[in-house]
Amino acid sequence: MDSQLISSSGGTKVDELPSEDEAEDLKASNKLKLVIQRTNDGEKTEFILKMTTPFIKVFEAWSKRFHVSPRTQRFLFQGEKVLDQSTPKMMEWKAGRSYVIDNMIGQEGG
Amino acid sequence: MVHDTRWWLVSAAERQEVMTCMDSLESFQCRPARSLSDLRPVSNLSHDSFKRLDPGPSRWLNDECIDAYLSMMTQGISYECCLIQLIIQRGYEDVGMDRWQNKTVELFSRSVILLPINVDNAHWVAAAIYPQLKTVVYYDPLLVGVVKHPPSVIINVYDFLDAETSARGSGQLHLADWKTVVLAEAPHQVNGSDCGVYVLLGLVEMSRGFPWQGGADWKWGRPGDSSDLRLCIAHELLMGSLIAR
Repeated sequence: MDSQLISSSGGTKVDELPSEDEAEDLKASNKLKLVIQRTNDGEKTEFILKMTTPFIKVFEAWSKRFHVSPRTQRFLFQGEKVLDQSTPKMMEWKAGRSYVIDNMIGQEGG
Repeated sequence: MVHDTRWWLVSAAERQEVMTCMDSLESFQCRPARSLSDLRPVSNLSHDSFKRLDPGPSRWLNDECIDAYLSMMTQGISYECCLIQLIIQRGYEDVGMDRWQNKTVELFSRSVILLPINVDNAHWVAAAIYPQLKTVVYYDPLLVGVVKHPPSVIINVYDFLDAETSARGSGQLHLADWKTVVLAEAPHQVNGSDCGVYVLLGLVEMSRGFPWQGGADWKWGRPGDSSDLRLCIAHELLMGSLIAR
């Protein structure tokens, strides 16, 4: 089969590491830091989450904060769409680290 | 009896199933098990997005509909809408294609590279790159007749080609070697809502080979086909595979 859907790109630049103390605390509690960055203005919002938290929870909280419907928003990690039901563990992310997800508005046209 | 060549027509039972899934979230979630496409990232097609294919009120398609449909294609290589938009908005370098390039995708040995492109969040157009033929084909369902100047969207396509060429150590892109073909004979939409439908079907046509006849041989897209085409796409999405053309 000669088919492939390209979605992964290098996406966001390598994530800034949390400070050492912060990293230790996160690691001890098996959590990590997630930064959601809005593509149009660069606005960043930070979240601390557990390895097993589905991303939909974060996306919903983010959307509520900015008064938008989560259904109209897209979230990408390194150019690849992040599935609602996926978790940091499923993405093979590590506790104590920081990761950046890009936010974009969904597109439509007629 | 004359044989009906309209491959996109679905049966009454299939139509019923599509409508049931439009009406009910539960039915949509319990849709038939997908075979191959289970492995592919189509699970982000929400019920809300699926309902945009409703054959009645002509709604606009969104990026989720486009990505889900293109993920079922068996030929060619296609880009997700958001990635294309990210490249256009942020510039090629800022998106940083390094990681993706390391995935050892042999991009230019492919027969065709397919790009669904959103214009101003109001319109869908399609570009297909045929590396062996050094040709970019452009399809805009709203365009009728001859175009003297290629639209600005084409510039983005060549920016993409240029960056890919140098990033892969294939030297520089020699623009003079490339030509752009604007499909003037392809079906064009007769309303203000079907561009997504036409772009999807056009991309599948282009994945099957170079459109030597400028799209004049694409059978779908006559006035009145709209509802049937939407039903067909919705049915294919539920089945997880494309109907044989």
